[in-house]
Amino acid sequence: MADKYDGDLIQESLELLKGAALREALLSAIKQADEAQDHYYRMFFRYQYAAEVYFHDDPPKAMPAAIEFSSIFEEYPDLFGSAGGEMYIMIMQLAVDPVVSLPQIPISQWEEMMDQYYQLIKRFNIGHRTYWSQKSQFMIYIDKEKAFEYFQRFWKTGRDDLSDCRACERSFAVRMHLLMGDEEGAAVHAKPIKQRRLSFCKDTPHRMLKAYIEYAMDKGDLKMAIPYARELKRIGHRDRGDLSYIGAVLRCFAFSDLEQGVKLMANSFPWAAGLWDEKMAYDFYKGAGAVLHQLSRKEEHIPLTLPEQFSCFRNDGVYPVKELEQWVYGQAEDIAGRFDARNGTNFFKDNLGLAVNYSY
Amino acid sequence: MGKEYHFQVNLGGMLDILSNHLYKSADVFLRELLQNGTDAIALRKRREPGWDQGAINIRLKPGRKIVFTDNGAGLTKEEIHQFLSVIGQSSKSGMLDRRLQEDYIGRFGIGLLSCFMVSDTIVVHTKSIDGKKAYVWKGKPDGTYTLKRLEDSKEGKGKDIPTGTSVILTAKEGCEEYFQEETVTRLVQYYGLMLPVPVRLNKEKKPLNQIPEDFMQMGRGKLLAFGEWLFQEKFLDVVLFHTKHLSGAAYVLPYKTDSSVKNGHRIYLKNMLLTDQGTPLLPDWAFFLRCFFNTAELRPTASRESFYEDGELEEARQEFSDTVKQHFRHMSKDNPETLHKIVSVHYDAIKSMAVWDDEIFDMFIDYLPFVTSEGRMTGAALKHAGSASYIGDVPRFEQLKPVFIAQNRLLICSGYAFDEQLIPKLAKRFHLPVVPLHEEDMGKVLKGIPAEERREAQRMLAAMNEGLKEFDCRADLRSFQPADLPALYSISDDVRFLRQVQGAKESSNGVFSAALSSLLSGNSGKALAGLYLNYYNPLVQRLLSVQDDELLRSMAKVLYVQALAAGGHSLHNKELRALSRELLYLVDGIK
Repeated sequence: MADKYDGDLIQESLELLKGAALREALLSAIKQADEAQDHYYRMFFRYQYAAEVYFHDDPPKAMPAAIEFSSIFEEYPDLFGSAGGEMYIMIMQLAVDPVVSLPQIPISQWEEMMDQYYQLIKRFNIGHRTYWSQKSQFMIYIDKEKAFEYFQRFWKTGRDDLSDCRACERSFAVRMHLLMGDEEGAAVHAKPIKQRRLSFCKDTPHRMLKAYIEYAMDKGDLKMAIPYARELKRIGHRDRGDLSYIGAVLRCFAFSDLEQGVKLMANSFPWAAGLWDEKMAYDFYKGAGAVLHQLSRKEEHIPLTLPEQFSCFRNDGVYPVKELEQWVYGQAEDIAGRFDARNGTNFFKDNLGLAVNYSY
Repeated sequence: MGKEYHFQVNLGGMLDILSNHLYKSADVFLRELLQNGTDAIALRKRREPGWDQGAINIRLKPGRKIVFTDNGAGLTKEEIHQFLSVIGQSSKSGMLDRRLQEDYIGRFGIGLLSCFMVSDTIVVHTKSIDGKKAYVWKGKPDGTYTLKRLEDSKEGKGKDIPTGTSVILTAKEGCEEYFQEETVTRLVQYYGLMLPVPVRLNKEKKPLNQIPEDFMQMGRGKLLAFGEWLFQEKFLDVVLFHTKHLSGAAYVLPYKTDSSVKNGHRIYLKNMLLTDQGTPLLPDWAFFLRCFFNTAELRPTASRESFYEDGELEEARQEFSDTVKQHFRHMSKDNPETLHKIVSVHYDAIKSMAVWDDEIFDMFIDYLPFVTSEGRMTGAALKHAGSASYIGDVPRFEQLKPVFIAQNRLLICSGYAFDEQLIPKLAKRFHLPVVPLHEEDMGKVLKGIPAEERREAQRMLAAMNEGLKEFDCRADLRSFQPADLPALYSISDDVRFLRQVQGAKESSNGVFSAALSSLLSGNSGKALAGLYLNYYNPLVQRLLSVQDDELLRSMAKVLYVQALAAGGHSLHNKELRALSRELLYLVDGIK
C-alpha cells in the first residue's frame, strides 16, 4: 500500500534547506502534492517555489508556478480561508512583475496582464497601492514622467497587508526621486533608512544603495558612489538574485577598488548563465564590462571558471580581457536593443552609453 | 512680517510615538533610568575628582511602586526646568565642543518620557552637588509639571537629603509586572550588566550587575562558565575580543542554527545594552555565535536600539571578522580537534564565510564536508581524490550516483547551500581535475558502445527518435550500470524550465497563457532533452532485434515516460495521454 501523503511532513523537511537544494526539493514537493491531489499543498508549495525563485534565483521562473497557482485557486478558492485572497494576489504579483525584465513579452500583453491583475485587486479589495508601484516600475524605462505620476499615485494610496515593507517603499521613493534628478527629495526618503529607523526586509537597503550608485555613476560622481558601493558589496552578493546589485557595485569598484571588483565579478559571473531575467543580466554585464575595461589596462588575461553555456566559454579557463570585455558589452548591447525595441524608446541604449563613458 | 507662533506639542501624542513607534517595548524605561543614573554618577566623578562611591539603588513595593535612586550629580532648579521639562533637551548634549563625553550614554533628552509607558506620573527628587537645596518635580503625561522644594514637602521635611536623584514611579494599570522583583532583576541584568556602577535592589549587598572584574584576563574555562550563566548554553568555544570598538566574547553555539537567526546577543554601547540583534554590527555569517560585547565609539540610532551606519561601524565589523579569523587560525594549529568539532556542527556558517573570504577558505577547506557518490568527503579528501565531476541538482545526483559508482568515478553533489560556489573554488585554487557535469555532457559520462554495435542500432534509434520528436527529446545508446535501468532521461535547466512553462500553459488560458507563449518565443534553438538507452538492459537488447518501426516508436514513448517518472520529473497531460495510447497499441498487438 502506498504511503499516505503528508504535506506537513514534507513542509517540515524543507525548513533547513537553502538555495538550489531547496528549489529542487520544492519542485519535488509540488509533484508529490499533485500526485496526491492535495490542493492545499499544490498551491502552498507553488507559492513557496515562486517566492524562492523570485527572490533568490531568477524571477521569471516564478511565472509558471504562479499561473498554475491561479488555476488551482480558481477551482478551490476556500482552502486558505480569509488569507487566500492575499496569497493569490501576492503570487500573481510574482507572475506580473518579471514581465518588465522580459523583452520578448510585448507591452500590449503586459497591459492585459495588469488589467486582469487589477480585476483581482478589486475582487479582494487589497493591493491597490502595490498596483500603482507595479505600473510605475514598468514605466520607468518608457516614460519617466508617467512613471513618476504612477509613483505619486502609489504614495498617496493607503497601505494594506499586501504593501511592501516600509523600507522597500522608501527605497523605491529614493529611486523615483533620483530618476527625476531630485536629490533632496531622495534624501528625505533615504534618511530613515540610513538611520535604521525602519525594519528592513531582505531587499532593503539594497535597492536604495543601488539607486544611489547608478545615479552617482551616471552623473560621473564616483566619490558619491563609493560609500554606497562599499555598503552594497558588504550585504549584496548572497545569491543569484543579487546580480543587479552586484552589477552596480562592479560599475563603481572598477574605478575605486579594481582588485575587489575583479574578485566579485569572477565569483558571481557563473550566476549570469542561463538567466531569464534580462534586466538582471543587463545590470551585471554593464558592471562587469566596466571592471574588464579597467582591468584591460593592467592585464591581458584573466582566469575564470565559467560554465559552458556561455558562448564565450574557453576550455582552458583563461580569457583574454579585451575579448571578454567586448563579449560582455555585446551581451549588454543586445539586451538593451531588445528592451528598447519592445518599449519603443532609447532608454537602455542611452543608459549603456552613460555606463561606457569612463570619465571618472 | 507676520507674528511668529510656536508649535504646540501634544505630549500624549509624543508618548504614543515613543511607545508605539520608537521603542519596541516598555522594558526600555528601566534602561533609560539606568542610563540617566550612570551619566549623573559620571558627571559627579568629573566634578569631584577622587570621589568613587557611585551607586544605584532600587527600592520596590512589588506591583505598585519603584524608587530608583542614584547618588550622582543631581540637578539644580535651573537644570530641572531646562532638562527635565523640555523634550529633546539632554543635559548631556552640547558639551565639550559639542562632542559627547565618552562616559555619557544618553544624548537625545527623551529618555525620561519612556517612564510614562509604565506610570501615570513621574516624581523626581533631586539635590545637586552645586546647591544646597533639594527639589521635587512631578510630571504628568498631559504635559504639566510642578516643582517645589523637597525640604518643604512632606516627603522631605526634616530629613537629611543626600546629593543625587530619585525617580519614583507608580504602576499604571496593566503595568504591574514591571514593578515586580523578578522583572526588575531581569531587566537590570539585561540592560545594565556591564555598567561600571553597582545596581542594588532593596538594599541587597550583592549588586545585580556584577560581572567578573578581570573578564578580559579570564581563562577559557571561566569564560565558558560565564557564557553558560549569561546565555544558558553550554558553548563549544569562546573567542575573546579586545579591539578599538569591541570588547567581550563571542561564544560558539553547540548546535546548528539557521542563517536567519540574528538575535540572542548582548550588545552593549558604553556599558548599556543597546540590542540583542546581530545586525548591523555582525556579519551575516555570525549566526553560529552568541556575542557579549561592549562597544565604544559607535553611534546609536535615536531609539537606541541599533547602530548608525558610518565608518566606525564598518571598522568594528572588520575587527570582528579579523578576530574570529585569527582565533580559528590559531586553533587550526593548536587545537585541531576542537576546530573539527566546531566545523562538524557549523559547516553551513563556515561555508558561507569561505565562499567570499579566501583566508577562511584556506583555513577550513580541509575540514568542510561535501556529499559525494562515495559518501561524505572532506575538502582534504577531495584534494587527493583525483578527477571528479560535480552536479548541482540533488535528485539528479541521487539518480546518477549508482552510475558513477559502477564506473568507479567520483561525483560530487554541489546542490547544497554554498557548495555550488565552493566546489569550483576548490578545483580552481588547488588546480584539481574537478569539472561541472552539465546535462549536455551526459553523453560523455555514459560509456559509448563499440562502433559495430552502434551501426546495428542505427535503425532502432532512427525509429525511436521519430517517436520522441513530439517531446523535444532525442534517444541515444550507451552502456551503464545498473543494468536493470533501461533508460536515463537527461534534461538541462533550460529544457526543464520549458517543461514547467508548458505545464503552466496547459493549466491556464487567456492572457497568462499567451504571456507564457511569448516567454518561450525565440527559444526554438534551445537544447533537446536526451533519452539514454542502456545497452546492458535486457529490454533494450530485445528492442535491438525488433524490425517493426511502429512498435519501436511506441516503445520509445513508453521508455521515455518511464524514464521521466524514474527521474522524479512531473508528467504532463501530453505524456500521460501518450502512455495510455501506446499501452493500448501494445495490448492490441497482443490480440
